Amino acid sequence: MKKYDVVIIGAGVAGALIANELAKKGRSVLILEAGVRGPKERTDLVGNYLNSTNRSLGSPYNVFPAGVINKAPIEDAPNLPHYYDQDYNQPDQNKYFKSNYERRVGGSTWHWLGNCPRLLPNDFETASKYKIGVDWPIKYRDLEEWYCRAEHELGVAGDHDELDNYFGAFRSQPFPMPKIWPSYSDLLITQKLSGSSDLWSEFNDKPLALMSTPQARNSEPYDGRPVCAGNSSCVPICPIGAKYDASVHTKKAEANGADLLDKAIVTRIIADESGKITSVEYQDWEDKKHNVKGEIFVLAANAIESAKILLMSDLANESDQVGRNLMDHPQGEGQCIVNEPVFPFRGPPTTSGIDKFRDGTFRAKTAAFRLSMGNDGGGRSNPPQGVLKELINDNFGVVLRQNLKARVTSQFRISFLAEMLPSPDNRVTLSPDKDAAGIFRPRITFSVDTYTLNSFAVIGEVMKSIFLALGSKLEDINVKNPSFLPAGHIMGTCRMGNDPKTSVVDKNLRCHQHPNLYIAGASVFPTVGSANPTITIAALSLRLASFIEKQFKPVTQWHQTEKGQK
Amino acid sequence: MDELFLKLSEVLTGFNNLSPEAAKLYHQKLSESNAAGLESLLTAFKALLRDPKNDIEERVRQKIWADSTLKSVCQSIILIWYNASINPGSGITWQAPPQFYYDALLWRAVEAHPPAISGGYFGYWRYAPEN
Ligand SMILES: Cc1cc2nc3c(=O)[nH]c(=O)nc-3n(C[C@H](O)[C@H](O)[C@H](O)COP(=O)(O)OP(=O)(O)OC[C@H]3O[C@@H](n4cnc5c(N)ncnc54)[C@H](O)[C@@H]3O)c2cc1C
Ligand code: SF4
Repeated sequence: MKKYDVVIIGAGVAGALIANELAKKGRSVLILEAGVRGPKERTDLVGNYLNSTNRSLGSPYNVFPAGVINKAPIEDAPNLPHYYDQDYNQPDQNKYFKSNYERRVGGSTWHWLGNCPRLLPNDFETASKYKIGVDWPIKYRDLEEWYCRAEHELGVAGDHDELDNYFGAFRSQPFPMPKIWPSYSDLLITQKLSGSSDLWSEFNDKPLALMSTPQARNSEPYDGRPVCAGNSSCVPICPIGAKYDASVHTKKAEANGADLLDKAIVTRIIADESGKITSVEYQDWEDKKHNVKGEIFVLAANAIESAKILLMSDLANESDQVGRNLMDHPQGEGQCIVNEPVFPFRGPPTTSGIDKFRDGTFRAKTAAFRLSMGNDGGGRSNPPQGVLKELINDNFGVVLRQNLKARVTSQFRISFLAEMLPSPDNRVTLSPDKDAAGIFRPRITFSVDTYTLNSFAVIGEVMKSIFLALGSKLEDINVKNPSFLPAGHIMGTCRMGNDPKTSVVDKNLRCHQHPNLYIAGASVFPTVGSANPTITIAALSLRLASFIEKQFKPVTQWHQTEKGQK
Repeated sequence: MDELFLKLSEVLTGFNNLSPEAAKLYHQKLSESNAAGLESLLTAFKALLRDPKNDIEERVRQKIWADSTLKSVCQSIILIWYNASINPGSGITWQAPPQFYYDALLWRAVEAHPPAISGGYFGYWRYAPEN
């Protein structure tokens, strides 16, 4: 096999963006992806979803022809044993790692929701500002230009004026699309909250008010993809491609000349004595081993798998930080019945949020958090099927129909997403057990600490005050969250830092010990703030692609022509 | 028998003009797991239809819903129409093919649409449903 300029491990948004940027510049790029490609048509995936009995996160994706074993297993696969090795008999629900991912060309963005808030300036400096966590080796201003580029690449719809300079997060460019329209309930709630905007002023001086959530779904035709038509199934799949997923960039990368191999599970990265990476070893789904050489290598397999690959390769770990500081954004929900219909289950699952609690001196003691306003009734914990089951104990016919309508159309939920601090004990190691491909499963040790858990009580009170302001009766409010829900935000495990003794990669995402090995994705986040991670992953990936490009000599005309003819 | 099943389904769900095609499928599906229970429910319902007094919903409430065995069969009829799926107790959920899922009554009852189908044009969610 030929030697590539750049070999990228993982075809998620991180890997796909980098591949596309470098292929555009004429670099020879290979992406190795453990999972499958396709099927060709999105409609097949939607068909799997519709035909599935549980409509779970993995239902569109984990459907394989009889006799085919998925050699890139995931935690969420229906009817299969756990993929993570963790203590499932442990009674404390806050001591499991619950988030999962998708392993296929396009990665986990296939089933993401698409929320794209940026991190805030203080999120990069929590140690200096609040004496918690660690500082990033870069600041918000270093990433701002790349955030703008990422918003254009993914196609983010948002309200520039509302967000510009919010908590000091300046925006040098507008979003590429105007905001997604607010839902009926967003508008109603804005109106009902207008008299309560000074609630919770002890947190900071920002009003308690809804803001439009920046989101990677089209409010106008964009990049050859249609406008969101409100199909409301973004998680686990957008039937029309109005929501961004990374198949957009794997396709672009290939069109620009990158090679993409699916069913290619990387098992080892190989270095010479100086620490320079010479090749990677991968195994196909027939269990045949292969080796591929390159100049530069990018590990973009997500926080769990990237750490696993480094541990299997025994590389980049002089600091003993590989696999440590695994984080998620612990979530929860509060629900209420509003005293009038809010008409949920129409449009994207959430269109607005409350960002007021994302920063302030309170963070010295309690986690920052962001609230999402639901357009999906009782949300994950109280779906309408459950309400129906309850109501048919007493009613049928027209009365049932009327009661169901009255209950469900006035159900409203708020969900929260809380900051989590890095801890060396929350970690990924190699399990002694192997998966279907004979590769180590990830062993996970995880526990949500009191910094985050204590915030749940505060968040409960905040949600309650909002529900009361909406006119909900006390007995119709539920804000108890005995344990957290997963966000799917898998972060940490290969943290970025200036000191090789305490971090895995430097500020340019290069492994301290390996001059030609880089890591992309949320695994490099030293801390996680209260922003969904993907727009930051995308910004860091575009910045990394530009840094890598500078390592090469300019591509000659001849090379470009040769590639063009390939 | 399918016609009787359809008529009873309309009373139990509170919706008129239910699809005969769906009625056939659901009738067959429910018979697979509880043929005897369904049979006695339909027999009881047929008897009620012969009596022209009172409205049918009230008669079903008194004569059928009040009987716990018949009530539980009624509940599975409601569930299959509202969800386009049913868990017959074996632990494995049966899912109707997509065209029936599109018509699941639950979503119509709450003036929404089943996930994965467009509810209209960009931004329709900003306004209250039209009816
Ligand atoms: C339900 C849900 C909702 C979400 N919503 C949001 C949201 O609203 N906003 C947001 O910002 N984020 C959201 N996320 C998170 C988001 O999906 C991820 O942050 C993002 O997709 C990560 O991209 P990535 O490229 O780093 O990793 P991935 O997308 O996970 O891609 C990594 C790729 O590497 C491949 N790989 C793994 N191991 C190997 C190997 N050994 N060899 C070769 N390839 C390998 C995998 O198969 C995979 O395709 C959500 C997640 C979930 C689960
Ligand atoms: S609401 Fe529907 S159309 Fe819009 S992004 Fe989500 S799934 Fe796609």
